[in-house]
Amino acid sequence: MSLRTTAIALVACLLACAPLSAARQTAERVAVLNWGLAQTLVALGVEPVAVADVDGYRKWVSRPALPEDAVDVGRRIEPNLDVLSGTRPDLILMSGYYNRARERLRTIASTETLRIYDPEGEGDALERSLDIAQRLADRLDRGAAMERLRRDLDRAVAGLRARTEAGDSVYVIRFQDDGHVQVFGAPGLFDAVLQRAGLTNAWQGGANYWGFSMIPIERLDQAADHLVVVEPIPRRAERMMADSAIWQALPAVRAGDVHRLETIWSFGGVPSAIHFADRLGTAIDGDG
Amino acid sequence: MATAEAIRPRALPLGGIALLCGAIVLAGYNAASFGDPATLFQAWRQPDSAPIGTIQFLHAWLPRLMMSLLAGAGLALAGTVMQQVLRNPIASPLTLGVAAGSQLALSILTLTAPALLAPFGEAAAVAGGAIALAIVLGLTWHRGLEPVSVVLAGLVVSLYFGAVNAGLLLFFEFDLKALLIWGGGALTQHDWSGVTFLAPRVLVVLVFLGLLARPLAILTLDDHSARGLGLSLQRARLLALAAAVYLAAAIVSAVGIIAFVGLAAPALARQLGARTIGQRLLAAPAIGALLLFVTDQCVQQLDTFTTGLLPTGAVTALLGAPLLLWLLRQVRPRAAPMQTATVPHPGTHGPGRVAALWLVALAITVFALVLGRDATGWRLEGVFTILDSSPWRAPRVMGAACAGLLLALAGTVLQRLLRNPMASPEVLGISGGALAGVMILVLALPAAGEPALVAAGTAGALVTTGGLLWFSRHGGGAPERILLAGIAIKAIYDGLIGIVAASGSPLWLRLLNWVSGSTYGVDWPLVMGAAGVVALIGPAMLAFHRWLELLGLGAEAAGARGVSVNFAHLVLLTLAALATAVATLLVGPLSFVGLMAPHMARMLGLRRARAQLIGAAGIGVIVMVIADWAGRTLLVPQEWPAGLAAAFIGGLYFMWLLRRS
Repeated sequence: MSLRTTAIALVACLLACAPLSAARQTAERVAVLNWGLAQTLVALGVEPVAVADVDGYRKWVSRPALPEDAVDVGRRIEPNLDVLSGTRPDLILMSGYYNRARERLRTIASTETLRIYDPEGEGDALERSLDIAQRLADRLDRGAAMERLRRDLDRAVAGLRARTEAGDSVYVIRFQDDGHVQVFGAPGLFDAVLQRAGLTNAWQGGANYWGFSMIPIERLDQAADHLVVVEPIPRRAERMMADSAIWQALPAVRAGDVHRLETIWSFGGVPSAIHFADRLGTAIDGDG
Repeated sequence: MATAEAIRPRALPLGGIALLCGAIVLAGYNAASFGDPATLFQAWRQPDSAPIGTIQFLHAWLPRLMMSLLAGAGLALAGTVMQQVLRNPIASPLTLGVAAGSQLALSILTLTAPALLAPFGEAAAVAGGAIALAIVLGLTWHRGLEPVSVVLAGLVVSLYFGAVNAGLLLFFEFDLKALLIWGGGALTQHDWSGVTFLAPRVLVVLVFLGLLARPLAILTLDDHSARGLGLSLQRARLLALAAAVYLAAAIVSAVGIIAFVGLAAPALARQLGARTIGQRLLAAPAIGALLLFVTDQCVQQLDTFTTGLLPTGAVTALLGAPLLLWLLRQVRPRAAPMQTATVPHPGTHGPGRVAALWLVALAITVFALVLGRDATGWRLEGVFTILDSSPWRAPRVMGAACAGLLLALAGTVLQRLLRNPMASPEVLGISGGALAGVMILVLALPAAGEPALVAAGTAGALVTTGGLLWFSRHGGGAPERILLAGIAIKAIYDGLIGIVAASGSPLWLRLLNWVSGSTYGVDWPLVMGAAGVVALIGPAMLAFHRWLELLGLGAEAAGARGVSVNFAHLVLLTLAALATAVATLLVGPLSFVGLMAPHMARMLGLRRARAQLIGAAGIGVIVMVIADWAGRTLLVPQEWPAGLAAAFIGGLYFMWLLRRS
């Protein structure tokens, strides 16, 4: 009860102060339940007050860094509604996929569903990420930051293009266990970056709407100029890479061009694409 | 174990040979896709210069073929021994919980000490399997290891371990994702290490069991005669069983869970006329190897059409379920010994205790409504202000209460119908059917919304209930036949889960949440529907309390007292099934409340059917509401699904039950 009264008092104060801050950007309190949207917000200069699974974000997404005081509202799939409402958000952003409680979220604050990965979506993930970032920038009055984000993306892609041969074919994979990998393809984020940088994706076997396909390693049998492994790599997979005749017979491995990338979130938005383009360029260029 | 049905003697061997030929042709077709066989020898000697196709053939396809033969043979061997030692035609590594125990042990090891997986993985799997079997045997020891009880206990144990595994996956999805593919039983190999691991073990166990063949044969005599022959029965039994558990666990640690081969192969061997244990120890592995080989070749063809993986173990589950039902129509379990509580004492303080129970239930419900927690700490609010400040809480609490009530009622009815204290609604497989419906919908339409999921779940539950009722329509005399349907349905459901899990898609997490039984999505329309069902089923079951009393004395006794046994059986089963279906939509399939509540009611002295029903319902409400509350508030901001929390309490109850018996 008392918390409610305090909140009402605060809002009253803010309203009273509003004319003085007309020139300032809107200070909306945003709660975000999806990591791709969270990283987009931070890249646009918005500090979310509540994020789902903060520890997971710090471990798997990590860039850009969340504000220190972001409140953890629990797992992405079932954010704790009591904690969430306690942070008094003005806007809740979700991807509409994990959450069963859209109606309930609406009772807490205005809720917007933004899907980067959509089974019925059009275009690739990067186009949709840019579109969503633009919508967020318009909604939260961050036009300048959006322009910077676009320029960063263009710079990263141009950098990747400069450091690689046009038309080079690339496999991008992540190990699931020692014998199976997620190989990234269209219409996912990594594939979109490859295409924009003038590279070819060596995997043409199709992918789900999240942009990957789960395959045994022997199906990586096309010739490729580069084979890129995104970390983390399980211990058994390391041993496999050293010992397995199959792995060593893969055309890309025989050619000698295997690169490793640090952990990059493969189901994110524009910041993940920038992260990927930067790191890929460094890896390919650095290793020759 | 004589076969009752007359199968034409030539049909099966001929069918088997046709199948074998077809499989060889298919295998040849698969192999041909790898390129020129002339380069094989060269490629083996000098892998560095060989074409990738030939390397794939030598180091991926061939080992996979060998693994399918080895795993199939090994599982069949283990199943044969288990069936012989336990004198139970439906014993197998899967139905006795051994596979689930191994899987859980490996999950725990992967989480706590992944560096130790390589050296100690096998040992952990064996330990897990042995513990699971020990629990199953411990639970049924005092009933003389009666076959139906053993399999019931095995089902409950594997469901329970599966629930714990699901809980671990829910919270540690990234660390355990490697286990998802393996868990579904994918046979893909990338070198010969799997074969070099498994082949010696299968051979050693085969030889060992061959040496034990004579003592094993004697085990078919009853204990009295066998003891007269001067054999230490217990020792021989334990040795053989240990070998079987070891082999099953080794296979699980190598390729994950492969369903049904360990059950179907020995049964087929019997059908084909293998009578002595020696014959069966040779025939069953051969058949098992053939079964898995054929399935795997087909899966390899299908795999090219899907963007995800198709794990062979999951496919054997889907194919095996109808096979199981066909093979085991003839199972006639031994007459169950009378339950200790079939002659109930007249009501001991019945009404007083029941009233007290329900008062407690009411108090706990209010407590769960008003005491909550958010980022700032614990908060106590008034009952009516809750509806304003936390409007999501009340439907969850009421939903949990309804679910607990329904499950307790269903459990009481089932335990009396089957005259077996291990019977519970989970075992019926209806919950599995409801979830299979949800899974099929999610696989077909990934963008489906919540109402569609509820509809799919209801449809699945209804279809399963219909099938169950049809299958046991003559079941008045042998109500245990429901068990077989339950096993088959659970296997189909496990197969579907395995396929979704192996596909690696984030869809998996969504389904896992449904499986774990979270009340998160429960809203007022669902609660109203559930309350309506309670209002229908509760009084109906109470009205039939006389049937429940009399059926507990056995079919003949009940018939003699004027109960139309088949009809009563059908009606009560329908009520129990409906109750289970609705409860599953609220709290998922795995809470075990339906197992615990009737027991606890009986322990409180409520032995007459009516008192037990009402008392168990009250206990069900208490357990489920507490589980839901604990899951929501104790680990803030994480939320533990109500079904899993209740299963955890149920597990503790199990241990206690074990020590008591």
